[in-house]
Amino acid sequence: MINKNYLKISGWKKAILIVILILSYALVKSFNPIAIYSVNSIFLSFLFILGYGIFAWLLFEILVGFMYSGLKSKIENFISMNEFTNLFRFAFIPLNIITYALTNLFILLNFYTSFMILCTTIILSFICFLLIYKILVKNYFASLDSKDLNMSYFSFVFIYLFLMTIMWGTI
Amino acid sequence: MFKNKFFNLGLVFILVFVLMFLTFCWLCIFNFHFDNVKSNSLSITTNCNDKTETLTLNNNYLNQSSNFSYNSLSRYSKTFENNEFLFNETDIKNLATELYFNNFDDIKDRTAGSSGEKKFAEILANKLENLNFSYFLKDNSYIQTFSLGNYDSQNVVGVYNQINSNNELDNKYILLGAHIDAVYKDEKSFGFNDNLSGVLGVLLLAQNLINQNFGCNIIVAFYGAEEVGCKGSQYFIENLDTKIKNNILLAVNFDSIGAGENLYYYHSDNSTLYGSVIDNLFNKYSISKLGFNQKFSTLSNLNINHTSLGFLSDNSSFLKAGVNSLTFFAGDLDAKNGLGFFEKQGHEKIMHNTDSFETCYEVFGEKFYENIFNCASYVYNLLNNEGFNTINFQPNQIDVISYSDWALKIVGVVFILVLFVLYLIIINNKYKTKKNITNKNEVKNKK
Repeated sequence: MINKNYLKISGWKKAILIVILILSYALVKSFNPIAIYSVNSIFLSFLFILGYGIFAWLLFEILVGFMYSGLKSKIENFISMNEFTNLFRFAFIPLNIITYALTNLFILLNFYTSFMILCTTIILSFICFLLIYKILVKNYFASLDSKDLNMSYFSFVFIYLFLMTIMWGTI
Repeated sequence: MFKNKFFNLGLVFILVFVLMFLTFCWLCIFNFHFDNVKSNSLSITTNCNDKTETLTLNNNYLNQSSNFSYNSLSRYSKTFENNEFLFNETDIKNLATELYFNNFDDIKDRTAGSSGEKKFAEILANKLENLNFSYFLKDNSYIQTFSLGNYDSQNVVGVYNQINSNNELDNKYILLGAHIDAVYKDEKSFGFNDNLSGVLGVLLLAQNLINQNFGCNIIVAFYGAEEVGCKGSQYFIENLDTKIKNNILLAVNFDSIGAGENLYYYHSDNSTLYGSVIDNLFNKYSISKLGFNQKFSTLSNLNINHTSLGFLSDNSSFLKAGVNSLTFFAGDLDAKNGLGFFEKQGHEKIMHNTDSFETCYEVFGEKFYENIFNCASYVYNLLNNEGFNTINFQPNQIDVISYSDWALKIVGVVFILVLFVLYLIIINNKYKTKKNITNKNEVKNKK
């Protein structure tokens, strides 16, 4: 069981959560060598990487928002949009930090290729979505028809993964 | 201790936020350290009309100039010994005067699609004609014009036939190339290094190869519109006869090879027959390979990989088309405490910013011409190398799919599709077994 109060946060606490999420995205995107190669000043490099982070976060927010609106008829009586999106925000911060650590590890092992990073990101994201689903079912949707919800939720997950892959490299 | 759970949560947030902020500050301060040393009172003026170069040097420059010798700057102890080149640095300077300084006012702005680029293309076409290069294009012209939306750009292509067999398969080609467009910036950046240096290197190498009867047809191609996405080289390779394309032994590309503390080359991350020969030979010289083992900065904890830097020039068009390619450029990727691209540690980036003769000469002196000379002579030695000549040539050795972003994304999408199918299978089995169990329980209950 999770403490549901943690997901109800709003106001400045939510703002800090979002800022941490953006920074964690920026951390992952800081590996883009072309960005750093083309911008050769401390301020612009920082802005460039932060910009990548903000774009990635925007994509995340949009897709999670779509996911909630798609599932709304089924889940609105059990969980609010704020709680739903906060759960994803909480889950994606450690995910980004793990991705960053793994990328570092791949570089140390001389195993850093685009294929490797993309596939790792897809697998990690999928595992993260699985965990979120488990948490949702255990804490909020215990009384729901699980197959119907499962299919709807994961169709959005795969749409998210497809879009992330297509946008990968662009942001 | 804390009655209010939110207060506790707020503390955690603030702690994580502070940690993240400190991490970013640390990244900025220790890895993004840019030590810009501005030049003092050095002024170099070039009078193009009179073909004279007046250098006004102050004591500071003269003191520094002793550091500009090639050996003291090189971090390698290896030297280039087997030098059979017919031309030297003086020939490069003469070429620079003939092509660049004499026409400076017309060609100082060589932005893709500009009149300066067109003029420079015409100058190079005349030069190829003077060197007895034949027409390569079907329309009996050296200039290959192509449209890119609102503007036209052009490649300059010529061929020197040393073998002219009736059997197409016997005609092997070496393609020497460099881009001719440049980034022009407010009377500061004229593309002296990027990429007049490459053009000079190609011409020097071509002159040497044709004078020594190399025994292979030599195509010289100067590409337009590189800075806007390697459009010229893409157009060239897309419109190249397949028979010729399959008989290109090696496409050599020179891009910004003058201004740089060190020289770098890149052919492919995947092992090829040519790759091993190139690596074995170049291991003797003062040149580093870009690839998996190269990092941006040796002290940087970020360790940004150099791999993608090998794709930033016209060679990427050839890699994507499956043609063996080799590209050269100069810089200082091993600058300590510096993340990003530098030509010389302690000096602000020259490329696209202050890319003029004055800056290049101020920072690198004679080393600028030595770098061009070395790149040309390395390729010359490679082509004359026994290992290179005894290779059983097979076209399309390059693993094309590795070099396409879209191919990478398609692999990613296929990977997700496989995940999706697996998910469907698992979920169906799961609910089928659940249904069976509930049905059995219902039957039992009824009984």
